[in-house]
Amino acid sequence: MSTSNDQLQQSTTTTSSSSQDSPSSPPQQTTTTEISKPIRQNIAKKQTNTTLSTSGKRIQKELAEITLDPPPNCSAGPKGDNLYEWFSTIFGPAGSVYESGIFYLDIHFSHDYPFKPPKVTFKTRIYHCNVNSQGAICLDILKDNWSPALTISKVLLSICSLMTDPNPNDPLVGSIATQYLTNREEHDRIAKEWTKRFAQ
Amino acid sequence: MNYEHDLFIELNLKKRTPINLINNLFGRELGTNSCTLYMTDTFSDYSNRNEQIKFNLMKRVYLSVYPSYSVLNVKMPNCFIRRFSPDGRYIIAFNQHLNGIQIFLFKGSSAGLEDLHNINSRIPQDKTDSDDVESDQFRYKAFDTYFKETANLRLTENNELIHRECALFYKNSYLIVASSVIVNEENLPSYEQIASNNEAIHYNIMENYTIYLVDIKKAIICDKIKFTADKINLTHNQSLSLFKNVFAVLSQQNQTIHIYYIMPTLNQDSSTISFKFVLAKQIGRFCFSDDLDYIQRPILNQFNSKVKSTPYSESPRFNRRQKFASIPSTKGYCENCFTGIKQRIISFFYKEALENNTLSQFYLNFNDILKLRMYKMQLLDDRYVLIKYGNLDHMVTQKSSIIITNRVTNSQISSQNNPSISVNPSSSQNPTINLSSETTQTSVTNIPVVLNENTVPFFFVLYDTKTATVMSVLKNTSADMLKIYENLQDYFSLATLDGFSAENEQEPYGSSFNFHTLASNNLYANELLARHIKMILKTNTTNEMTKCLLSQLPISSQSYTTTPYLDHSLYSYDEKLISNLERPKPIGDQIIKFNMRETGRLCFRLYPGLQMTNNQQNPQSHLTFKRLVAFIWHPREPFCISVQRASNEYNVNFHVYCKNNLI
Repeated sequence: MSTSNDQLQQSTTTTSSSSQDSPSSPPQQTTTTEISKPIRQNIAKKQTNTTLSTSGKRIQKELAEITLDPPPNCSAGPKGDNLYEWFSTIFGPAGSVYESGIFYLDIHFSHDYPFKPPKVTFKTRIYHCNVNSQGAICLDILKDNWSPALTISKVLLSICSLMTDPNPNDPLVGSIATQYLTNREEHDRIAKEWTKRFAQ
Repeated sequence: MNYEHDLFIELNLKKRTPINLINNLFGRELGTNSCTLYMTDTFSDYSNRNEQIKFNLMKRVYLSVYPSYSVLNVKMPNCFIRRFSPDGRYIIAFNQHLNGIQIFLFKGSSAGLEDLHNINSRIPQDKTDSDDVESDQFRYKAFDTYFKETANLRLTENNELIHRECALFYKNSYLIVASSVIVNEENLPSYEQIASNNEAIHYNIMENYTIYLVDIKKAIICDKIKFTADKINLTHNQSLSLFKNVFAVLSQQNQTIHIYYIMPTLNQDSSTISFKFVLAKQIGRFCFSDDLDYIQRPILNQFNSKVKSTPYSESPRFNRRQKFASIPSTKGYCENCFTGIKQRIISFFYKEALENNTLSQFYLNFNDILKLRMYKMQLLDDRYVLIKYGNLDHMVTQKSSIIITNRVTNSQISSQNNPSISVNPSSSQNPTINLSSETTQTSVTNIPVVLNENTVPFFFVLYDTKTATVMSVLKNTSADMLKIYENLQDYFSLATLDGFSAENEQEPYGSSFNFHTLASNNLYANELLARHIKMILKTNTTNEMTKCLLSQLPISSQSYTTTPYLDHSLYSYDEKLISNLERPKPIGDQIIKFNMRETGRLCFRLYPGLQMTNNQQNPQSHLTFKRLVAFIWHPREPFCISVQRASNEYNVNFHVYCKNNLI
């Protein structure tokens, strides 16, 4: 009997801990053992509904903004009907080594969006010292320097400018950064080749 | 002469060329036979018109010589007959245990002429009669009369079974067959290691495949390709495609098209030359064969540059990052980037949306684009591939089953997404949970679905393998695609260049003999198609009609029968009962009549069924009335084999030429 009680308690604690991951969970969730599964689901639904009103509004506003006035060479929009999962397209900036390439990015907004940066990853291979093979981008405004005043179109713009001017002093792929500094010609040649092969 | 000519005009009659054997034979020899050519305007340019005109003249002989006599229920050796070699010299059969092939030499359709003449001299008839002893006896020796076994070659090992509906001929004497066996999953490495890219479909039943290249004249295996733990659709050569010496295999599980060249290579003893598969390209994760090198180079460089001191190699942050960046990228299952071909397809859709100003629509439907997977493909020539993409959800049904034996853990597991993670930390505290967690299994089963291709949306992707570009993407409701299909059907079916060529081979008629009449190159076939479309449109919308017709694309290689008797301009016949598309047809015991196209006169009949007399019929026969019948035509001679499979019988009829013409 005691073991089963333990289990039940444990199960509730694990669920509450998992729901803490989702943002701004109000303290209304009590750790009573009587809460059955459907009720718990309802609570979870309510939580997301309340958070949608703050972060969702902001994202919707940004969507309208980026659709009406997209930054040059860029476009973005939510995948299907999920407002928090976006997909973005960047044309390689003219004059850069990525010219004529089409680069795709995944954008994931968290539920406390304007206060936390969106997660942006490249879905297209790119030969760039600040982007690794898994598509992760090393950009200060996506990490420590994020400010709620920034919008997704500003983020896309800074990614564009990062493509034109890589930042070899804070690299994610060291070898490319070294090459960029020491053998720029070779770097540009490979980057162009990659654009031709992987970003068409 | 002049008078006669005027009379014909006066009576509004068309002058016909007399149809008799001598006349036609002379005509063929001299090439003077006046033969009306029925071709549509849209006849595709690439097929050599002159060659076909010449060929049509030669074909007139077949109006006088035809397989008019049916030898019913032939006594067969224990094997499954597959098809004739392109030159008609050999016939290929799979042995009873499906582990090897048997090769028979065809002695010619005149081999049994004498026997048939003897039988027919007493009672003229056009099929064997079980009441007559002599004609009944002929069916026992018919096979040996026409065929002589030249080789019996064992192909498979490790319990693999040859796929009966899969065989391709390369040139006249090379055969491509495939065998497969279901993999015991216990012996497999993890799925991450099997799957070669992040688009891979996790089928629960995986098979090991072997594709053989067999020299049928020498009866040796030239080469084989192995695919371990894969999913390849071998039925009717659907996942295989052959164009001249380019051979493509579509792995549905790995979402990769492997392209091989069949090339003559020196053997190990460097004295003989045999044909081998040479891997040229793998289209899937990458589009070019050396793409992987390009990706691995920065990582390799990194290890090399470690030796040199760089400005940041000292910092601990850099070291951590270096470790992060050097994730081995040889296995693509966990990769984040799009595969090479998916990137190009997305780009095509994106550019299209940009042109039409429908970007929001593009983003809205983006998840559907992500779910597209290769379903079928065919080589259009040595450069272009037509790939049919379907939605992943339509191709497999995902059925997750959670088997829980312990009731206590029931609530706990159902409340969490991932039972394995949540149970593990508690296991140290509570041993009972640990036990129960062992008995719980969560498995996602992907069962391949037999698709109704008439209803589900599909995309046709035209891909250029040389420059790795997606030329076009068209939906299966597109009117343009239908137009292309209607007008260039012979291009899709590779009508004249069906994988084998006449180079270095002594062929009497050249490659143009392997010619099928299709809606795009024959007026009568075109008429049939138009009638078919009208039929469908009576009950369906235009969209449904388009889908229905386009469901035939891509056409798998060598799926059309090459025989003059199915030429629409020579004979008219019921397309429902027999067609030049090589698929079994539900016929039952119906008799197929062939009428001469010019005169409409009944020429000959085929008796494909069992043709049982009333007293022989068993009471359940009405249940099995519509049995499937497959036809194996000789490419040149008046010889045809019809194979009918009832529950466990294997009934074979020969349709041969006989001098007596009853009709």
